[in-house]
Amino acid sequence: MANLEMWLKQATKCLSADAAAKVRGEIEEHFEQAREAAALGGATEADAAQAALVALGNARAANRAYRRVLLTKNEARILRESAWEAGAVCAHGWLRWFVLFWTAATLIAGIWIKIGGWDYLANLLLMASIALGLCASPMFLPLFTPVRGRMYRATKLTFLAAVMVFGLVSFRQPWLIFVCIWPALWNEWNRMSIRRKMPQTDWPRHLYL
Amino acid sequence: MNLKGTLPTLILEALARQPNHGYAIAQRIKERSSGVLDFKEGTLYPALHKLENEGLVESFDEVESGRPRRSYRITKIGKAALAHNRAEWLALSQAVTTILGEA
Repeated sequence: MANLEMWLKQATKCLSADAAAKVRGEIEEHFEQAREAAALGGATEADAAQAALVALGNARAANRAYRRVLLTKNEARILRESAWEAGAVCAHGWLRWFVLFWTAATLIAGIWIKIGGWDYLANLLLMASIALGLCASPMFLPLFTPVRGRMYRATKLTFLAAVMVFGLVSFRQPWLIFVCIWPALWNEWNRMSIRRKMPQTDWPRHLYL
Repeated sequence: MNLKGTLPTLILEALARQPNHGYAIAQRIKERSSGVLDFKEGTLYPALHKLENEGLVESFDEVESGRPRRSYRITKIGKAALAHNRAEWLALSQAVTTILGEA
């Protein structure tokens, strides 16, 4: 049993608490059945347990396979934090009007300044207005279907790529834009992984975005 | 022998006959292949979870011999995927057999 405990510890490394409990339950059940079958075949208690453990295979390989299909601790944290953020926005109705106001304000200012001839500042303001618009749109538009969600995500990623290109071309310190964009890209990468690991029927609304 | 990538199809085939739990699925695959197809049982469950995420199988809890157990059954989409995989595999194996038979 101590060996099984070690196997489970290795196999559940970095998995979220729920995923680890799930793995623990199914492997313990499997191990018990395999051990009983071996004992019925005439093996001693120790040999039966050893055979059941060997049949499970390498714990590290199992851990790698589990991490590809079950949520890791990091992904569970991102999911929790996103739920909190979405909840906070929904709890304050004024916030969406606030974001919408600033979207419109930066857009108008951007156009105004562009007409005035200050291209660099105008471009920055226009980009800010698109970013704010992307933040505001889920609060007003019914985006929570698979197709619409995919379209929204494609727009968001295109925008991030455009910001990256614009930043790299026009900033004197391109690393600065990379440092600013990196957290968003990292977050997107993790959310893609979470979407792959969860059946679509179980997705919380914020996962569509 | 462990043919990489075939485990999900073998699981679907095992579940197409009747709903079952993990241990029984593993035993069924080993028995039906007369022990030729050997895989580590620890990798069976990640494959089952992947199939479940894709909607090809669904899990349910049941009690067997007084013990609570998580069992799996194939879905409609899973049956269609199995039929597709089976046809693909037959075509592939036939082609390889033809080539090796010529040598």
